[in-house]
Amino acid sequence: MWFLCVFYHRLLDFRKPEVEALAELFGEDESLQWRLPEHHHNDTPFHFVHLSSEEIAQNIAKRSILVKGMYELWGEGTCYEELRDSIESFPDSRKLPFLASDSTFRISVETFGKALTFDEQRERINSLTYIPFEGKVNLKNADHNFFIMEMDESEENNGLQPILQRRIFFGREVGFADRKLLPTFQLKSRTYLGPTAMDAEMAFLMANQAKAASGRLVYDPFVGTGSILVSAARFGAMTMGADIDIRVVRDGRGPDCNVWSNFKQYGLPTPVALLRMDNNLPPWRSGLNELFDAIVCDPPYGVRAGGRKSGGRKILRGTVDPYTVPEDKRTDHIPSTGAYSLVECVHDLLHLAARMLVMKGRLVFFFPVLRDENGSEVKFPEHPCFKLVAVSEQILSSRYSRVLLTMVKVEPYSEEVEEAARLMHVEFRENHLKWLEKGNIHSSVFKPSDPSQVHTDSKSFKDPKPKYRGKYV
Amino acid sequence: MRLMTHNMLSCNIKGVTNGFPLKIEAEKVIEKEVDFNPDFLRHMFAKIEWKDLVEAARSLGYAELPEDSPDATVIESAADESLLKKLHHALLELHLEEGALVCPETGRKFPVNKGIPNMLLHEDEA
Repeated sequence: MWFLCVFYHRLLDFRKPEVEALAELFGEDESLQWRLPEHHHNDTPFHFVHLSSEEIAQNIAKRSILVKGMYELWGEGTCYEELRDSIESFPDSRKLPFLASDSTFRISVETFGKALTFDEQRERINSLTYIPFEGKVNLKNADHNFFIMEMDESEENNGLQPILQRRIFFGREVGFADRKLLPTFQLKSRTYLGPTAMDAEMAFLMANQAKAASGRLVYDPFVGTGSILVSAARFGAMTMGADIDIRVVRDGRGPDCNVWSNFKQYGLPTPVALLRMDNNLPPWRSGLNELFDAIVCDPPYGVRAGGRKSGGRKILRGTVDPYTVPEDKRTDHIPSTGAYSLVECVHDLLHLAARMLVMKGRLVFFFPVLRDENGSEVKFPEHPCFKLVAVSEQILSSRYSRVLLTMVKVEPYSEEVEEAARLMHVEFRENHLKWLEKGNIHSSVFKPSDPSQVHTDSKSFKDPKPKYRGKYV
Repeated sequence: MRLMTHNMLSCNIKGVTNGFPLKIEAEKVIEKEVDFNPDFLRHMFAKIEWKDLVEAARSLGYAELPEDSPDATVIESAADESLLKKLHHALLELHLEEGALVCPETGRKFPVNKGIPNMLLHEDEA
């Protein structure tokens, strides 16, 4: 069945992948078919999607964050006469069950890119007299909600994509996103925050990409304050986290202000385990594998927060040999840590995921990219065990963005994979400085802009994304 | 730290081959109730080392688990939940709040404070 999916006009790259992940979660086997309405651009809020049943459509919409509404389309047209023809040709067998006399209904008018007066809206609703509504009107809590959606032709000037021709849709609402989750979970009222805590909306999107659900185990190897796991827990998953910084994981800011309290605040089950460990030297017993249903995280990019791994700065550079801490100082000794480059960090993450994810399990993580004027091809991390299924860009500044990568484990962890990872690990150790330089975006983000460049480029600078790129933020 | 976590961890000091299971030195053990989720337990059952779980539970004062690993079919069947409930209690409801995990090969102690195990290696162990 085809449904009209109307998205919130924000985080444009994240919209379809969310629906696709949720479709898979709710039982769709095949990849989804999408269609655009006539004359619409890919960034439009309006998309037609093919789903197996109304039940799946409803489940997807209710669990999503970006679906404004999912509708069974009864008709469409460029004017109200065409709309009437279209609705009348929609089979009665599909319409009558929802027009019954013992049900209640409501018709609303929504416009995009313009506003209508109350009278104008009434006029449009009244034009639908040819539809045999038998039930009673209920404006507060109707059984069936109908929507007239109207948009005029417009230029690219109002934050929306340009439309070449006026279009009107009429549909029955099947489901919509529960955006009330956002004010409830907003970081503003979170007990324990850190500088890189993930905002609630994005954390829920990540949890949806990971298909977090009851009975599943979701792991975050860079747990910090637990902001991503909170969203996964809200969707019913069991959670587990690790971090190299013991102050964040064990202490927080006090007995009522720590990772545990972040979960208790919302009445959510606390994580099954929180550990202090180094992802570069993980303490998993050999033979343990395929444990997690999903790994969701936001690794340190090295821009606002850098990653750490075991070994002091001098040891890693080879200036000093690994030293032994005297017996009497060992108990409270905090082992030194050194810089952990993004390249090595992501390599270790992929290796961990290859080993510890169940087959078809998902790895969802953010990866920073520099926004190049030339629009050169960005190369994302790859691994033989994984298939990349979604890439969603979120612009952070004029210099860089981050992309949410969703990977699915399609090949089992083998000895070859283990051996290749071991060799890479040794390579990183022996060439510590060289790898610190590669893929280091901190300097690119913070370098002062060249004044001469600014003048010449501002006119010729072609933004790869169109004017309303603000919607990609 | 729950026994589920303990069942996953081993000592990873350079050169150590027999780092699992870590012996538990318990100073403070508490019991915290957790919602019973049979699907999750069944998924975990396939991943744990049973004998080591029984041993670890005993060191925390819980001896109700059968010595031998139950047959997978017993766990899968929805009929008798008493065994699953025991597994639930041992795996998720027993907490080591304060103590240490000791490497069987080197004797190195990994401290457990406020329920969080510290698995970080010292400079000469990596």
